[in-house]
Amino acid sequence: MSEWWVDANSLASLGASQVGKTSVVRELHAETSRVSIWLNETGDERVGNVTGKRVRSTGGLKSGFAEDVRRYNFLSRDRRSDVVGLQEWLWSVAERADRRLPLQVVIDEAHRAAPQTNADGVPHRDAVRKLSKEGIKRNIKLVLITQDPVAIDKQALRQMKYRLVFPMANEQWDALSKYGFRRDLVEDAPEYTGVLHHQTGGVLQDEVRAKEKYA
Amino acid sequence: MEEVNPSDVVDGDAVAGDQAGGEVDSGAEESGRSIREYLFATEPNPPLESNAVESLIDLENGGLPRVARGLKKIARVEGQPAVLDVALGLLEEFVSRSDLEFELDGDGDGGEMEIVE
Repeated sequence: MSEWWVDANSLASLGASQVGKTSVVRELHAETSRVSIWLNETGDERVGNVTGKRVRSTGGLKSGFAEDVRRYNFLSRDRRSDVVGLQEWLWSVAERADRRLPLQVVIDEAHRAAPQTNADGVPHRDAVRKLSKEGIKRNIKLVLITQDPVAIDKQALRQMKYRLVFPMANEQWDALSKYGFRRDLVEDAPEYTGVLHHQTGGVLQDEVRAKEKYA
Repeated sequence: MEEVNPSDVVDGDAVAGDQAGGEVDSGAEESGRSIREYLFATEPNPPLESNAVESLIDLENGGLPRVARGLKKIARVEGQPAVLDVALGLLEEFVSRSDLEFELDGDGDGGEMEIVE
């Protein structure tokens, strides 16, 4: 299995709507050996077909952990609040486990949980930043999905070791030009296929596509 | 470095204290368990070892419990389906309440002395 799939380095899955960026992460969430928590939303914004025990709070996560459950669909009514609590709790978990419990946190529509803003003291944005910068030290892999990479917190995005890039709108390509994404490879790739880039700009895998059952 | 399990990092007190606030919904369709599987679940169940009828000829604890234990061993099932537990439990409750009503509606000998003049 590829390193990017299993190691603790963070991953950003970027692209327009309905291009396959969420499907790949669904597969990662379902099949990883890590304990994976998908911080989902409720209502119309909820991402469907996410495997795992449904919980609505960190209390639910604790109950699941006591039963050695390894997949969670965290249906949050207020993700901005819950991401803060989740980050704090995972820090204590990592401490207790002495970093020996591989964990993963998935946040879709990540630009809503970690918006780009220059304001100080934005708890939810800061929690995502912490996960992106310090998660690896605690064996926590952060996976962000967004169809608006321009609107997501740039500090968090810069920390993403892996960038899985799918087709995007022109203005988004222009705004992300300094990241060195291979637009030519992305646009030539088959449908629902992304190109995996490293933080340093190199291409690690030029065709990444989810299995059919996760589409 | 040896990995640990999720249960190794939560303690019983922490879990018990948060149970009330932590709604947990196992979500049948997304966790893959059907209604049928819920009705016919046999866990959690008392292990066979807990039955005190292993020794030869135990007139006090043997009899039907020993028969049941033997059938479980044959079927390699330690518990009985959840739906059977529910049905038998309701029947037992009904019978015990019926018995209680019968006692209460009886001739009420207890407590009252017949006055004989």
